[in-house]
Amino acid sequence: MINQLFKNTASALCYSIIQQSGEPIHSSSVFPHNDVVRFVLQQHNRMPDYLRFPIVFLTLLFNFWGFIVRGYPFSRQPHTMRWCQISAWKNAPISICRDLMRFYESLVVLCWKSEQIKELN
Amino acid sequence: MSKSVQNHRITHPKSPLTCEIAVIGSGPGGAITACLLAEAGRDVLLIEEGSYFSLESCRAFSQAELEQKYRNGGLTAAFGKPKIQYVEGRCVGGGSEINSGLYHRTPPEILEKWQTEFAVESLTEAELLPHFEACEQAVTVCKLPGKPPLASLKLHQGAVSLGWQSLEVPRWFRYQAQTDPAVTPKGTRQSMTQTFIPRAIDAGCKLLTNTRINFIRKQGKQWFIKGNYIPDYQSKQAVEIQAKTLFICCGAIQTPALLRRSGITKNIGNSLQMHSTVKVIAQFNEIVNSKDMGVPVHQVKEFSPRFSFGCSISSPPYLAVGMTDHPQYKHEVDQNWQKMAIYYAMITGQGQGSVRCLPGFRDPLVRYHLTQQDLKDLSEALQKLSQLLFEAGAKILYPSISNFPRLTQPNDLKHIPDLLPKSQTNLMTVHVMSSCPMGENLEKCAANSFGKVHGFDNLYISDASLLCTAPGVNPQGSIMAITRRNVLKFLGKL
Repeated sequence: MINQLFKNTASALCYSIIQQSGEPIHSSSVFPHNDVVRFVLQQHNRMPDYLRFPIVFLTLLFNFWGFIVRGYPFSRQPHTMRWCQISAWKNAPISICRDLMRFYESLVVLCWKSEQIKELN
Repeated sequence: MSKSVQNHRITHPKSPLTCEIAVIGSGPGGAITACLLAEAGRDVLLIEEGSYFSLESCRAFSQAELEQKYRNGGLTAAFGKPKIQYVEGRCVGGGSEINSGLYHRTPPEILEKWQTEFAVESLTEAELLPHFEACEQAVTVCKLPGKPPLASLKLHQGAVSLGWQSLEVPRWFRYQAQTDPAVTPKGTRQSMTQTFIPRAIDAGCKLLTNTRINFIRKQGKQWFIKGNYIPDYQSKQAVEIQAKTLFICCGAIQTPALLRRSGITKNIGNSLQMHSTVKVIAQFNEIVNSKDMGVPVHQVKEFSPRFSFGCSISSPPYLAVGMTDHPQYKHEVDQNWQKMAIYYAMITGQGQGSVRCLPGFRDPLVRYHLTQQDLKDLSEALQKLSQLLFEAGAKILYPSISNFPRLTQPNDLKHIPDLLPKSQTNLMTVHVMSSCPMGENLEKCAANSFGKVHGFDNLYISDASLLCTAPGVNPQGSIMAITRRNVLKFLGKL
């Protein structure tokens, strides 16, 4: 259950970051969002083992934080509300909050842009 | 994979495997060690944790390469204030399969420092020269025979305009013959899987891939090496190897981690060094980037050894990731990536780090402490690089400092603080070394002047860990030459 909740939250984060980039996919036959989520989860599995659980824990905390502040867990919020929470954590005074957002944003952007390049090629 | 490699690759290891010499790690240190020992007629087993991929298995510097060939998918960091992201190769050929192949010899003043402070014997410039020359020939170190990438030329032009020393750095590269000097030439990157590993295999060396070594133990006159053969995610098989002599060549992080896991700790993993690097995305009015830009080859050495500048791989995905520090301008990458390139300022530094094993975990914890002087050097390096880029015609600069204002004119350089803000600055490095320094100074050194671990028979280190301090230049030329020297000493040929 915890694993599924982690995957749902990670997926919601990936979708929100992609949506915020506001860029249309050039072809209607390509929908790489799930490839991005898969890449991010695979990268989480590859990272040093002592960092994996902290990432899961912080991601779940991030999800629950939405419930405390806005009445809904992050994964069930609409996009605008989600982005407000992402922005708040990106600019938080606590470095681990910023690091968590940086972790997701870097991987999503890398994969998303790589998919775009592949599509253009 | 060639037939020869296929024939000499062990696919279903039967424990215990026995050999005269086991070499753990197949990066430049391990591949050259295995090659020279096999060519001298020794019975050699080369062990690698990662898989065998040809150079062409994926596009260089792509997401696929990150997944295939980097340790931990490239998500490795040294903890400290600030954190420093670093990368290691984890495949046959190690770091040589994923880097740009820019080549430097060890600066003579660094060799002198190593002799003075670490009491390294027989390591003068003249003594290393034949080893540099042999390795340069083997991996085809040469200069670009045609036009460098435009982004690289911008760096050079800015330096020349300011009267600063800029040079074209040779690479390990086999260029295709071409007649048009106005075109950036194509060719094949050289690496260990292109050079020393096929040579080792042809000389009879056996190759065991996908095998992680957990610990080593000396029993009588033999080294017992215990690990797991992991051909895929579903299966895992315990492996034991017995060897009379053992070379550990796993790189500056994994070598001390393996030694410490095995209870060998004296001066091991205490003195890690790295070339901390801060980056800047520069935006020009004209086109400087393209889909097949290639590797920039210029470096500015005016302020060396304190710091130097260069140009990085600047593909749109890398630019977009770099621009996450300036989210309000991320659209610029989509609209103007062809006018943008990533530049770096790299310090030699005085900071030190450590490599430690955590009970119950597989991966080692790496920590790094930057000194106040390092932070000052990074700041000054960033200012000077920004000055150079404005001189070269850059219109906007985006430093890798989160939410830092972009720089639009030389006057903005005064906004760069004298000490870079620890909580906002994003540093990285591709050069890690010096975690098990060599030399006769027993207070500082883990191994003797030729890589033999102090206090242990038939146990050697042969990789970036041995370099006594950060050399201030790409270390792989130093690693290759010192490896060759040490192996020839082992063989009694020096």
